[in-house]
Amino acid sequence: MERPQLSSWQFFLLTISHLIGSAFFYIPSTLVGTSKQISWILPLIAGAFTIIIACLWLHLASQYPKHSLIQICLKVGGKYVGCFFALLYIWYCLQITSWVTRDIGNFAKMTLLPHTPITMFHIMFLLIICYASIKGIDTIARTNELLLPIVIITLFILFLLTIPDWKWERFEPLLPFDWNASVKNTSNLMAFPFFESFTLMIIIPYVKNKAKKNFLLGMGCYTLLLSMVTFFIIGTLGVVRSSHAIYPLYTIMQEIQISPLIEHLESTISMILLTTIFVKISITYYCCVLGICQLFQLKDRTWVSIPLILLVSGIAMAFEDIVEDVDWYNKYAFANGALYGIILPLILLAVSGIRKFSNRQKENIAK
Amino acid sequence: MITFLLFFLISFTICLIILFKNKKPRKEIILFITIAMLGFADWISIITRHNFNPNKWIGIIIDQISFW
Repeated sequence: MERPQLSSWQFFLLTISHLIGSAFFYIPSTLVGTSKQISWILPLIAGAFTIIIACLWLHLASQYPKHSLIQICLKVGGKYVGCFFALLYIWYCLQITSWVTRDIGNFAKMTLLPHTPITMFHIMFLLIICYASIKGIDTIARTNELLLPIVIITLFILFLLTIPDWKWERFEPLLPFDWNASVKNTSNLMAFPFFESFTLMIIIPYVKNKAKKNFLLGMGCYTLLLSMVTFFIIGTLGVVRSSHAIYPLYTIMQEIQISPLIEHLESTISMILLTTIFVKISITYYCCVLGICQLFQLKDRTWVSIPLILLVSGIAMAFEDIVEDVDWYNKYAFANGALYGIILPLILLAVSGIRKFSNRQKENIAK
Repeated sequence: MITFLLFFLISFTICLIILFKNKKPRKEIILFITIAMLGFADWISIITRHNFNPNKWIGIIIDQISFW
C-alpha cells in the first residue's frame, strides 16, 4: 500500500472539516432547546474538556510513532485482544459514516427533494465517497484544502448579510444556569462531534510534521466556530424559533432579504452542508477502509471500498426517522462515544505502560 | 425485492469475475465476499421489514450496563 504524506496545514483543515460535518447544522438547535440564552458557552466547555482528553490520545500516539490506531491496538493488545479492539474502532468508523450519511439523506429529503427515496441520496453520495477513498487520503486532503476556505469565507459573508436582523434583546432574560441540562448537553456534545475526531488517529502517521499541534489547533478553532455559530443563531433567530427549527442556519438563510435581488440564500447553505458532509464522510469512510486493510494486511483498498457502500447504506437506514435519531443521541451518545474516546484509549495506555515497565524490569534482571 | 436480488447477483458476479481474472489474493476475495454478504443480509432485513438496527442493540447494552 502506498504511504501518502499530508502537510501540517492539510491535517489542520482535515481536523476542522471532520469536526464540522453535520454537527455544525444539527447541534445549535439541540443546545438552544435546553440551555437557552447561554447555550453558546457549552461548546467552549465541551471543547476545553475534549482538548484535555485529546492530549491523552496524542500521548498514546506519541508512544508508537509511525503507527496508526489499528496498528497500536494490535501492538498493545496482541493478536486476539488487539484484533478485537481494532474491530471495535473499525465498527465506530462505520457507525459514524452511516450516521452522517443518514444526516445528509434527512436533510436532502426534508428540504431539497421530498419525493425522492432517501436511499437514492445515500447511494449517490456513497458512490462518490467510495471513489474518493480509493484515490486516497492525499486526494481527499487536497480537495478539502480547496473547499474548506471557500466554505468558511461564504459562511462569514452570510453572517455579515444577516446583521440587520440581529437583536441583542434576544439574549435576555439571562436565566440562571441549569446545571443538569448543561452537563447533559456538554457531555453529548463531547461525544458528537468531538470524540469522533479520535478516528483521525488512523491517519495521523501520514502527517509529515507538527501533527499534534495542528490536531489540537483544529479542535480549538472548531470549538470557537461552533460557539460563534450558536451565538449568531440566538442573536438572529431568537431562542424559541431556533430551538424549534431542525436546521436553524437554513431557516435564517431562507428568511434573508437584503434587496429584491438578494433573497432566499438557502441554496448556499445547502451547498455548504453538502460540502462539509462530503469531506467528513470521505475521511471516516477512508479510515474504515484503511483500518480493515491494516487489520487484514491487504494492499489494495478498492475491493474493500466497493462492498462497504452496500453495508453503510443499509446501516444508515437503521433509524426510522429523525425523531428516533435525536432520541438515541440524547440517551446514548455520550456512553457510546466515551467507550471509544475515553475507556479504550485508557486501557491501551495502561496496558502499554505495564508492558514497558515489565520489559524494563526484565532488562534490569538480565544486566 | 426481485429487482434488488437481480441487481445484487449481477454486480456480485461481475465483481467476482474481475477479482478472479486479476488474480487477487485469497484474503482479499474472502473479505470482499464477507462484506458484500453482510451488506446483502442488512438490505434483505430492510426489504422484509425486519430491520436490523445496531443502534437499538447498543442502546440495550448501555441500559443493561448502567442497570448493573
